[in-house]
Formats: sequence, structure tokens, C-alpha cells
Amino acid sequence: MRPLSIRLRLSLLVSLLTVTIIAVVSVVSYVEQEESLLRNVDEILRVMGEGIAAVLDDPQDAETRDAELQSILGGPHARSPAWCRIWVDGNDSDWFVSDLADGPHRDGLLDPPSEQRPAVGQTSFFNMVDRADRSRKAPYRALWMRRVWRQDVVNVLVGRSSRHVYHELREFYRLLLIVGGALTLLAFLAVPLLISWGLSPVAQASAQLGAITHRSLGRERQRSQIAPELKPFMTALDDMLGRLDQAMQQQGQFIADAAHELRTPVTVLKSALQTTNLQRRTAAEYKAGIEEALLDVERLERLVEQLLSLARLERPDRLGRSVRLRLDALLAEMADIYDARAAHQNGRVVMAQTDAVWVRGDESELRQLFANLLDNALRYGPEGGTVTISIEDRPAGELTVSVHDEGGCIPNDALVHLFDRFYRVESSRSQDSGGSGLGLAIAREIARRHEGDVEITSSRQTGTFVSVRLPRR
Amino acid sequence: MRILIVEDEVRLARNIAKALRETASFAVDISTDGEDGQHQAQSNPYDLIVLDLMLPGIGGLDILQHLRRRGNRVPVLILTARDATEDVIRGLNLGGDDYLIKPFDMGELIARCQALIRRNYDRPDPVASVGPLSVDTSARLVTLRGQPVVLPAMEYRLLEYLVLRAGQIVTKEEIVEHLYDFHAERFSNVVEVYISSLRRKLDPGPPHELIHTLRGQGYLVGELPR
Repeated sequence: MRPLSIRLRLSLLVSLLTVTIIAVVSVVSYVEQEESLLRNVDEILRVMGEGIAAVLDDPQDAETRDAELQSILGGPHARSPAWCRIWVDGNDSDWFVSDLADGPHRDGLLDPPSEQRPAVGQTSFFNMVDRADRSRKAPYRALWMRRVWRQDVVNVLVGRSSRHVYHELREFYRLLLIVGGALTLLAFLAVPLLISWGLSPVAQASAQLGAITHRSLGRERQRSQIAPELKPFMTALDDMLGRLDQAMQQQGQFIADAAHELRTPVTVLKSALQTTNLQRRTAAEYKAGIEEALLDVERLERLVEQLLSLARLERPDRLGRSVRLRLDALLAEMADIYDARAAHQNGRVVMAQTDAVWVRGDESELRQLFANLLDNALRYGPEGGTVTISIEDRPAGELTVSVHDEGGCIPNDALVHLFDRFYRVESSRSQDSGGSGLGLAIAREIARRHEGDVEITSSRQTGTFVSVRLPRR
Repeated sequence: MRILIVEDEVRLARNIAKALRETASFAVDISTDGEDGQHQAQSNPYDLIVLDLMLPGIGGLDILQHLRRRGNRVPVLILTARDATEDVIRGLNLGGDDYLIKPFDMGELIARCQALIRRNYDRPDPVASVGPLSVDTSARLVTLRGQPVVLPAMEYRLLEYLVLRAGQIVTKEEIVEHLYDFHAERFSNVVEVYISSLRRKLDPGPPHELIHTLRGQGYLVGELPR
């Protein structure tokens, strides 16, 4: 199912809320109106009842009394005539019964329902319906008063048509329907517009975001048009875009650097092949030319290999095959291999005596890390020098592997750049040492993947120490 | 012709040197860092400098600026791996004569070197003729009255230099400076040996002498100034 849009959701919500409020207000005001209209009728009845009681208290002859009572009730031609019946409990004949304009209905209206009978001295108000009226459309309001009068309990029933109340209520009901309906309709029409207006900053922001391409990632953007609520959001987005831009620039720089580094061996290789090809030569000269070219191919191969491993290491996933392994055994084995290699230049690679040391990591990556460091030590250390590998304990469950060579003329300002990709200490560049400038970058990347790091110190007196810090496991 | 290559990539420099020696019969010196390159460029009368821009020590552009400020008119061919146009523009604006972007074609490099040298000697025509003799400097071909003459490398190098400077007196010192690279053994009487060999092969003798010896001054190819 397609998710409902925020606009639709909000429109529905606000519209429903509006309709509910209108409905509640209508019902409440309708009930209030009904009560207040009935209260008015009741008030008239109460006044009439008091008037009747006063007439009864006043001793006078029956005829005068009846005329007075009739005048209180209003003549039979009054617009909304009232009627009255006065009788005494236990006596069948009524003291007084008023004339009603429409006679046929009097029977039903003169017999109040017994459940409405008030206690003596009390008064009750209730609705009555003319029982003879089949349509039951003529409602009446009645007052029943009982009081002791000269040892007798006298009942006074005063009634009055309340039809006008319901007529007024119907009018009011109609008014409520029209006004409420109009308001509801207005709400349904206006709310989506209002919400669109309210959401317009989001639309503006998304338009601004939509205009961003990979080329304009890091560009400063005008954010004055953004609603204050969206500002933190947009600022966070801008920060993220800035970081992305930086990463992309670094990537671009890396590609440019890599292309440049690849171009140098390609240039040399091309020049070697073209020089060899310039004229007819002897077999020995051709062989020399091919060997020359092979040197460059090997250099290219090494560079491509290192670029690939750097690209592999840069992938954000965690270590592939992480196992618990004995670092001292691995280093001892590598020391042997590199010692054999160093022997060609009368050099040595030795491993200091150490206890068993366990770390957790990817064995091939750790091998590559230390191979890069040993390569560097042999390449840049003095000829015939000794390279020493040693493991030291460190606090906080860490250990340090140091690869030491007897060189040590890395200038201080070069030390900070040693881990930059393709950086080589200047004096080593022209010596055609064959270094790619990526070895330390790779070594550090691997160490960091293993939650460690690499540091270098170098001085003419003590030589060069490359220290790898790793967590002990 | 004598050329200096200032390039820190040793093997590239050696390859260029080899190609220039074999194909163009140039004497070639190599310098692999900026300081040495600048020193060499100042102290020897090169016919051309092939200059890399990215050098340890002093950068290529600095060397170029230094040379031009001191009035050195040697043609300079800039080699650069940076294909950024600004570098090329800066190089040319600082007094460079031409440029090539790495990786380049060796044939193109040689052709550009030869073209720059011809320009410098004010002989834009690659075929230089003196009387019955004509020397095609681009193809290294010597013909005498239409007949090809095969010359050993050193003799050709000497003849090319003399022909490019035809009509001018060339001292023996100049010949030595332009014929030999820094490492060659320099025996000045070898020049006389080459001159006499060239005379034997090319000179019809008086009264139409091609190579004149001006005692105490040097040599002259072509018509003697009156």
C-alpha cells in the first residue's frame, strides 16, 4: 500500500478535529438551548402556580375565585393558553378545572402521570403529551404542586403548551446544521491549502537539496530562506555533504596521485623500449633492453599491487578472517625470511627473545603490515646494517612491536608526512629505491583496522624505530 | 652537439641519453638533482637542456629562471609529468622553449631536440648545404655531390657542428666543448685527427677547399670571409 502523504494525513487529522469540535459545540449548545427554553416555560408555570396558590389563600366566593384563576391562566383565546386543575386527595370532584380551547384533548392533559407526583409541600415539573392526540405532536409542560390547605392535601396542576419551545429548537437545529456544515466544508477546503503553505519550507529545502550535484557538494549554500525548524536539519545535511565532499576530493586527489605515480614507471618503460627499438641491435643488447624493461614492469606490478591492497583495506567492512594468533611466532618466521634476503647485502634481520604473545587479527594483513616495515628497514637502512624486531608490553592491554634499523636520517619535517600516500623522503626519490610511497600508508591502515596504530621516531644516534601498537588478546 | 639532461628518474635519463647519442650523435650529460643540474647548466656551453620540472633540491622552474636571469640563451626543453596547463605556461613564460609531457615518444623527443638546436644555430632547414656537401641533420645523412658518405659517429658529430656554424670561425676549444660529454677523455689533438679524416673523405682540395684551417684561430667551413 502506498503510504499516505503528510499533507493528506494532516488534512484528514485537522478536518476531523474541526468536525468533531463543531459537532460537540452544536450538541452542547442544542442541549443548553433546550434547557434554557424549558426553564423559561417552567418559570412561567411557577409564577402561575404561585398566583393560583395566592388566589386559593384568599377567602372569597367560588365565582370570583374561578374568574381570578382564569385570568391568571389567560383567556381561551390567548396564543398559548394554560390550563389548570385543582383537586383534593381522596375527593373525586375537582375544585376547579379551567376551560381549554381545544376540548377533545382535556382528558389526557388533566390526568398527570402518578410517577410525577411530588411530596406534600413540593412542586414537580414534567412534560406531558396529549394522549388523545394520535400524532403526539403537541407537547406540553406541566407543574404539579401539593400543599396542605385547611387539613386537606390540595393538588394544583398547571399546564402550558411547549410547542413553541420545540419549534424554536428545530429552528436552532437547522441553523446549527447550516453553520456547522459550512464550517466543515470550509475546513476540508482550507486545511490542505494551509498545510501546503505550512509545508512550503520543506518543499523549498528539498528544491535546494535537489539542485546539489557531486560537483557542488562542498559549495557554501545560502540558508536564509529556510524555516528555523528546518535549519538544524539542513545544517546537519550540509555538514554531511561537506564531509562527503572532502572524501570525494581526497579520493580524486588519490586517483590523480596514483595516475602520476603510475605514469613515472610507464614513462621509463616506454623510453627503455623505444630506445632499444631505435636501431638494429645485437642479441645481447636486446636482452639488456628487455631486462631493463622488466625492472620497470616489476615496479609497476608492485605499485598496482599496493594500490589494490590499499583499495581493499579502505573498504569499510570489518576484518575478514579475524583469528587469535601468536604474533611472536609470526614475527620470528618473517625475521628468518627477511634475514635470508638481507644476507645478500651483508645485512641481518634478528628477532629479540620474547614470551608468547597473542593478538587477534587477520594473519595475511598482519603479515603485509610487517613485511612493509621490514622492506622499508632493508631498503632505507644502511647497507650491512642489522634490523631488530622486538615486542614490548604496554599498559591497558596493549603491546608494541618495534622494527629498528640503524639508519636514522629521516628529517623531522618529513616524519609527519611519512604516512601520506606516495610520500617519499626527498633524498630517497632520486636513488631509484623502488619504493612506491604506499608501504607505510598501507601499514597504518592495517594497524588501525586492528585497533592499533603505527609511529616512527628517527635520530642519527639511535636509528629509526617503527613502532606498531596493537591490542593484546 | 652537447646536451644536458636534468631528470631525477635515473633510468629515464639514461634511456634518453642513449637514444640521443645513438640517433642524433649528441654528446649527452646527465644530472639527477636540481643543484647539480643548475651547476652543470651554468658551467658548460650546452646546445640544449632537457629539463624535468619535479626535481629534488632545486625545482626545474627555478633552474630555468636562474639560467635566464644570468643571460644564458641555451634552448630548454621542459619535461613534465604534470599535465596541468599552468605548469606548461609557467615553464614557457620563464624562458622555456618547448615542452613534452610524460610519458612521451622518444622519436618526438629527439625530433624536438634537433629542431630546437637548428633554431638556435639559425638554420631552420634540416638539410644544411655547403658547396657540394649537404648534411641532413634529421636523418644524419651526408652526401657529397649527390653521393652518400658514411661517417663514424664522432666525425659526423664534428661535421654537423662545423656545418651548422658554416661561415664562422670555430675554435678548437669550442669544438671540444661541444663534441664531448663530461666523462669523455679530452685530447685536443684528436680534433685534428678528425678534421684530417673529414678532409680526406669530403674535401676536393684547393682551390675549392671545404674545411679551412685558420692558424691560431680555429677552423671554418665554407667560403672564407674576404
